[in-house]
Amino acid sequence: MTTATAGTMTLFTTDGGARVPEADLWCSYAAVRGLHWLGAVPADPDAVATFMASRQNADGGFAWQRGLPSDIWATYYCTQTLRDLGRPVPHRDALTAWLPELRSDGGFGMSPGRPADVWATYYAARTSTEILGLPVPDLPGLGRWLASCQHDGAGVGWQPGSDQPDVRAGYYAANAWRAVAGDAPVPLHRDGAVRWLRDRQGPDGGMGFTPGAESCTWAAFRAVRALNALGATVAGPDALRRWLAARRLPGGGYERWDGYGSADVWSCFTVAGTLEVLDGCVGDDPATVELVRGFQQPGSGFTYRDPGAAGDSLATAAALLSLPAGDARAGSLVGWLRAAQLPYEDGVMYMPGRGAEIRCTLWAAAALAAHDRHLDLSRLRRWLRTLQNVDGGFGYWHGRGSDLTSTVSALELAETAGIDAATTIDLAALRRFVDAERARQPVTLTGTAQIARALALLGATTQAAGLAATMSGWAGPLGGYSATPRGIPDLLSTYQGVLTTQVCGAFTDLAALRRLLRKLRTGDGYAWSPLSRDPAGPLANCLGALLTATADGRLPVLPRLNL
Amino acid sequence: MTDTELRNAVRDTVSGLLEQVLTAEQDDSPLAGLAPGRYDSLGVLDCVGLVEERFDVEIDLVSDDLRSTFASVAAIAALIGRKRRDQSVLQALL
Repeated sequence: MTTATAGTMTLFTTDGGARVPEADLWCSYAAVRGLHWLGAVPADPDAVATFMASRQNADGGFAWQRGLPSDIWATYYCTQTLRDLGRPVPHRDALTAWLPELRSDGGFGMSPGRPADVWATYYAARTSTEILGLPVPDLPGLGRWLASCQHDGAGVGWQPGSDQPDVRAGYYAANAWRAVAGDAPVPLHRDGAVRWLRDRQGPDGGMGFTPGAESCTWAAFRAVRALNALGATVAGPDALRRWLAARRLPGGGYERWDGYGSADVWSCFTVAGTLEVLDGCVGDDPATVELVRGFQQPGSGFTYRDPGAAGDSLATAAALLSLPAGDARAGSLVGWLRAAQLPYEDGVMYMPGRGAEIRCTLWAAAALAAHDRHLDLSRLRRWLRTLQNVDGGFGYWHGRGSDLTSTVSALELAETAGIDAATTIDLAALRRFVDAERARQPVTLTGTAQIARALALLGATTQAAGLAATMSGWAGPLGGYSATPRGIPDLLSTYQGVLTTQVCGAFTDLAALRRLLRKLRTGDGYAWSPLSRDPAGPLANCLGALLTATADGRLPVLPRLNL
Repeated sequence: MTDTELRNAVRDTVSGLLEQVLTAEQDDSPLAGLAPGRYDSLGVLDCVGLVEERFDVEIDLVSDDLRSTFASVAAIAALIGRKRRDQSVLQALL
C-alpha cells in the first residue's frame, strides 16, 4: 500500500465516498432546466446564477472550473442556465468574438484549435443562435460536416468516419441543424436516421443508446428529441410512457434504469425533458420539484443529489490516495470507486450517472492500485477499445474530440491498471496522434511532460529521456516547476514535472521540491500557488501530500495522475 | 555573522543575480532602478530563491511584502537578519 497523508479537509459523504466542495456546472444546468420544464425555479436562484456567472473568463467563454481555459461545453451550460433564470449573459461582445474561434473542419471544436466533434458543434450552434442571436456562417459547410458523421445512411457517429453511431450523436446533429437552419431540410439521410433511432426502442418500451444497449432515461430523452428534430416520433410512445412511469420512485423523482433504485438530477431532467416532447407538457410533480431543489448546495449551484450523499470519483480517489495506512475508511472509498464503474459504461464516471471519463478513471485506477485493488479489467479493456477516436487519440469521454491529456491518460490508465496496451489500444495510431500534437502544440511544461511519458510507454525511451531532461527549463529558483519558463511555480506543474523526471529516468531535484512545498503548505492542506494562502481542496491536498511523500523519500514514484 | 558581514553577503548574492557589481553606497538604492531590465517581478522571485538557498531562511511570498523587503540590498539584509533572530528565539524556546 502506498498512500500519503494529507490534511483533514476531505468531505466524506454518506454514500461511502468523498466530494469536492464546489457545485457542478452540468448538475446546475440540469437542475435549472429540469425545474424549468416542471414549471419551477431553484429555491435560491441568485446563488446558482452567481455560481454559473463566476465561471466566465475574460475571453467571454466559460470554464468548467475557475482558472481553466474556456470551452463550449461549459459555455453552453452556463449561458443556457442564466437564460432559464432570466439573467443576462455578461460580456456578450467578448463571447461573440470568441465563438468563431471554435470553427474547425466545417463543424466546431470544444475549444479554439481543437478538432470538430458533434457535441461541440451542437453546443456552439445553440449558443450562437439562442444566446447571441447570431446566424452561423457557412451553413452548407456545416451541413456537409454533419452529413459526414452519419454512418451508412443510418445512425450518426461522433465525428466524420466514426463507425460507432449513437443516439446522443444523432440528437446533437439533428438539433444543431435545427438551431442554425430552422425548418430547412436536414443534411442527413433522414429516413435512415429516423429508422435507426426508432430501432433503439427495446421490447421493454425503453430506449438504448446503441444496438443492444440497456434502456435508460438518458437515451429516451435524446432519442425522443432527436426524432422530434427530424419530424418523427418513437415507434411506441405508449410503451415508452409505461417504461418511464415504471421508473418513478416513491419519494419523487425517477431512477435512470430498471433496478438503479435512486434518483439524481439527470434522471429527473431526462424524464421531464422526454415527457415535455412526448406529451407536449410535463404535469404537476411537486415531489420531484422538491427533490431536485434539495440538490442545491447552500449559497451555490447544484450537485447531482443530496449534497451530503453526493460523492465524486476525483475527490474519492484523492481521499483514498491520501489516507494513512490502515485507515478504516479505505474500505468504503474502495467500494465507492469500484461501484462508480457503472453498468453500461465500463469506465469510471466523475459522478455516477454521467458519462465515464478517462481522467477520473485514471485517478480511480491509481487510488485502487495504491491499495492493491482494481476495477473490472475486462470492462475497462472494452471501454478503452471503444474510446479511441479515428485520429488515434482519446477524448475526455466517449465521442469527445481527441486531446493530448486524455490520450496520455488512456495510455497511463492501461499502465496503472495492468492492462496490456498493445492488445487494447491501436498504439501505432496513438503514436501518430502524439507526434501530430507534438508538432502542433506550443511548447508547454504539461504538453512536454505528457508527450515524454507517452513516448516512454510507447518504447521510445531515448526520445522520452531527452524530453524529460528539458523539464529543467521550467524549474525556477523557488523550487518546483512553473507552467511557463521563469514563471511562478505551481503545484500542478510541479506534479507533472516531477512525475515525468521520475518515470523517464531524468534527474529529480528533491531539495528544490522541498523548498517549494514549504511555500505551498498552508493550514491543513496545500495551495495551487505559493501566492495563495488558502488550501485549494482535496485534489490539491492529495497532489501536495504525494509530492511531500516523494520529497521525504517515502514514495519512490508518484502515481500517474492528470487533471 | 555580523550585520555588516550579512549585508556584504547579500550584496554579493544580488550582484551575481544582476550580473553587475554593486557597491556599499548603493545598498539603499532601489534595485529596480539599478537594473531595470533584470529586476522585474520575475527577477524578484529569482532573488527570493537565491536568498533562501544561500541564507537558509524561508521567504513568504504573501506576508513578507516583497515590494518593500526585496526593494534594496539593505532591505533584503534587514529581512534576513530579522528572520534569523526569530529563528534563534524559536530554537531557544524549543
